[in-house]
Amino acid sequence: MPYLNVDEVESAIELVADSNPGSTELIELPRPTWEGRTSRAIRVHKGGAAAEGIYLIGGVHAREWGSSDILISFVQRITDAYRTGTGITLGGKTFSAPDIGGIVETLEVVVFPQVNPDGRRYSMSVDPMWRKNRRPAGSSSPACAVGGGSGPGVDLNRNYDFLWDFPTKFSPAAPVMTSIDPCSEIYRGPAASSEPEIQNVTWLFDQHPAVGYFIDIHSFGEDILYNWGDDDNQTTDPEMNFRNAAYDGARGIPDSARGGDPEKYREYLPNGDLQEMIALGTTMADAIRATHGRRYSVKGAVGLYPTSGTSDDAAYSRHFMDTARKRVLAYTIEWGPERASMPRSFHPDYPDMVPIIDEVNAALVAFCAAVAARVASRAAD
Amino acid sequence: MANYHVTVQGTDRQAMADLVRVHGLRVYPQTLREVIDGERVSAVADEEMIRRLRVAGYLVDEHEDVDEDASSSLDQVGRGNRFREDTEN
Repeated sequence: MPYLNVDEVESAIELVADSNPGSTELIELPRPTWEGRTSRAIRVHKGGAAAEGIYLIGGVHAREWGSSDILISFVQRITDAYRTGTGITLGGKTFSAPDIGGIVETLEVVVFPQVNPDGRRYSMSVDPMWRKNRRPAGSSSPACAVGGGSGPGVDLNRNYDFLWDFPTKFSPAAPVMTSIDPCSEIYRGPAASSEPEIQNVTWLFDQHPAVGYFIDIHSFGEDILYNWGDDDNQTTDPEMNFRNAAYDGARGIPDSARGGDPEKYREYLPNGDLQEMIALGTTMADAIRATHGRRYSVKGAVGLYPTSGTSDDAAYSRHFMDTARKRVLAYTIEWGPERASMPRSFHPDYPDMVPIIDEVNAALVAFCAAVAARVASRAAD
Repeated sequence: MANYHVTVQGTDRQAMADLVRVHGLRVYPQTLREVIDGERVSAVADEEMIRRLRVAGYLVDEHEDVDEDASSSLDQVGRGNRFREDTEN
């Protein structure tokens, strides 16, 4: 069994929608990609207005082939189990039929499995190390070297409107993992949210205001990362935050840097959010471990190398920017271990991908079940 | 120019931060590890970058040519469309 190619991902979600007309809705995204492809997502929910929403995306970085396969498998398993009134067993982890019913009938689960189809197509046919989208080079742009994922295009997970203007927002001494060089593998793009793929991701947020949780599926590292990614977290000073221009030029030096952070900047989040992020992250890690025994770390996204313009921080920042919006707790899952071969760290041989699909599916089902249980508990109070 | 998977070892966190802010190396942050005598991280670099890093005092272990190694991955991709009976699989 090989990885799903671009057409197969699209066919797979069509098939899920066709097979489950009462509990799914196929959603066509408004912005065609640079190569003219129309993307689609699928919403899983049965019944009236959903009390809570979970939004899952994958296939952002072209070479991380397994992310789309994980999400397709997830929607197939959830909808098959719901339609047949059965549970789901993944290795040593089992979910009951009532667990699945609770997810489908309590939550809306929005799944956008192939955010970057142009890049996936290119990675699967020309340059397997390709990471970015396929935005063409500008007429005045210098030619880029090819190979190793280099060349024109935008790193979609550096293009979101969150501290995108890193030369202004971060300390000049911060080792920020983004770039203004169009040939760089981590090029941020010509403007925040300039890319059609990112506009599609954001459009789905806007169309589903019940969404309160977001997970972006990537490889590799066996990590479950929660906000923030621009600097260390703090829970005591709400004024020290990404919107506050007084801290421009001070962000991005983690405390773990030698000598600590001379700027003393840390990104604010309420303690309740932090505790919930850790608890739900641990729920996912426990499910992964129960499936095939792998141990994923649950930790804040920032390490030595801070980021800007990423999906998880953009998702969580939405309600700080506009208080009318619902709070969205956000995660990035980095599936799979580092392997001796760098290409195979990003896309293992398919037989090695199968248990990873199982374990990340278990994490996602466990996450959804935990959120559904919280909603049910609140309703019962 | 060929691109290689490398592991780069520096003496401390400052040196590892400099890989990005001074040398512009494409590191994989999730691979950063403490080792005896410093820290190391996986990255992708061409021969010129490898030479520069060594001149700057980093220990650089060279592994596979990523493009050459990755080319065989294409065998792992589905052909046709397994969900449509009218296409070749």
